[in-house]
Amino acid sequence: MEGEPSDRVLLGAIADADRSALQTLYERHAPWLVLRLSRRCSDPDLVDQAVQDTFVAVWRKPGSYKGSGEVGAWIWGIGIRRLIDQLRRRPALAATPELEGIVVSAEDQVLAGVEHGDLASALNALSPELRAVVQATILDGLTIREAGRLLGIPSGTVKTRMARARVQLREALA
Amino acid sequence: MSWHVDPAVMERYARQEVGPADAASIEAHLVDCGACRARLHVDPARLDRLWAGVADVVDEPSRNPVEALLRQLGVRDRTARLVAATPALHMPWLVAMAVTVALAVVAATAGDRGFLFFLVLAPVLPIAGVAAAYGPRVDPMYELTVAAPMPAFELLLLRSTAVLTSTVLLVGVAAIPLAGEGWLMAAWLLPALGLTMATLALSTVMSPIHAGVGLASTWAAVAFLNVRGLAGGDATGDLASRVLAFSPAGQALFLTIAVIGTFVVIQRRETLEIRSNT
Repeated sequence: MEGEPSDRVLLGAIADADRSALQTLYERHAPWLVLRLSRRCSDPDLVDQAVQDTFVAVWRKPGSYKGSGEVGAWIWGIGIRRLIDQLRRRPALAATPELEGIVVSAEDQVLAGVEHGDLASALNALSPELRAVVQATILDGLTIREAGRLLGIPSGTVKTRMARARVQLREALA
Repeated sequence: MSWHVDPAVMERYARQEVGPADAASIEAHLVDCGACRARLHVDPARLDRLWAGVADVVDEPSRNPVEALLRQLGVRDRTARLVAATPALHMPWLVAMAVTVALAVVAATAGDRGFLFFLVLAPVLPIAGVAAAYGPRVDPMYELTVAAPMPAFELLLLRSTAVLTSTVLLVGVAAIPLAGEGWLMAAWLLPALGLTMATLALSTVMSPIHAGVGLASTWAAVAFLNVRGLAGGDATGDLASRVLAFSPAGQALFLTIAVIGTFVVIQRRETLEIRSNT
């Protein structure tokens, strides 16, 4: 990428306490992290705190990146867990904007059909509760317990909803 | 990467206007596509504010173990830092004290005189720590502590408690090999408490350093003269138990001094306030 240091190089520099490397990494990754976390939590203050905690964690333990996979995916793993920590402290606020029912425009429906085929429409056809569980576990890579905390529901409920979503997806894709 | 998210779709993603499937797809792509990430728009003021918060933590000097421990115990951040900055709680000081105590204990196992040396030395250590706990000469944070939104009295008390606790623990642990001496191995505790409280009480009329040095040397001199007087007489029984300070009467005296000292400190705490501001 235009001769700029890669994320891995930046992490190496951060391990040597290079503050400007952290700033570069922040400039690269903070925007998408803010947006992606905002889709999981409607309270901007909690999102802000989670993003800050994430980069502080990156600064303190750059070595926890094991070198496999994308640095972005690693940052996401820290970010979503920091958000869950925030939600755990203020459990009453657990709420996903997803569940409020965002209206999907006709244009989006078409786009989804073109770009992602049947899976996208099958996913969109799930009820918001089931979709949130699929997103948290399969797409966000959380464990059952973490997903339960993020969504503010018990682990058992996460499991039953996943099973129901699986059945529904299987039928839609058959 | 050949495929990129359509800029218009990206725009709607940032405004949370795309459906879940599209969002999931975009998010999966963003994880490893720097070009698309760079096109995302988030309020720059928000990003700057968040970075300032991260930078605050990053630029903060690393906490020393004492401060970390105090925070664990639920002490407020500011208080923890002020207490942790106590010179007598810093590594060089603690190491020096540990070495001194170790030598004294070794000497103590060598015989009566060595044991006496340990008993006389032990109370001096907390005095030294308390005297150095607060003051313009020894405290690197003195200017800060004077300006700190906390009464000087409260700070001195907090630091003295921290110093006293750490010193007594250190000496107490080191003295375990002397358990054979019975209750005498703990005979330094009351003199230590009494002399420390006296140091604090005197600190309301003079600098803590002067108070500490004065009291420590008086204590050492009296003990020395006392021991020399005893050595001249007939050497029956345990030498240490015949030294006045470690006799029951002496122990009671130091307990009284501790009580009076505490009373004086509480009565005169405003003086400390004024002294620390001049």
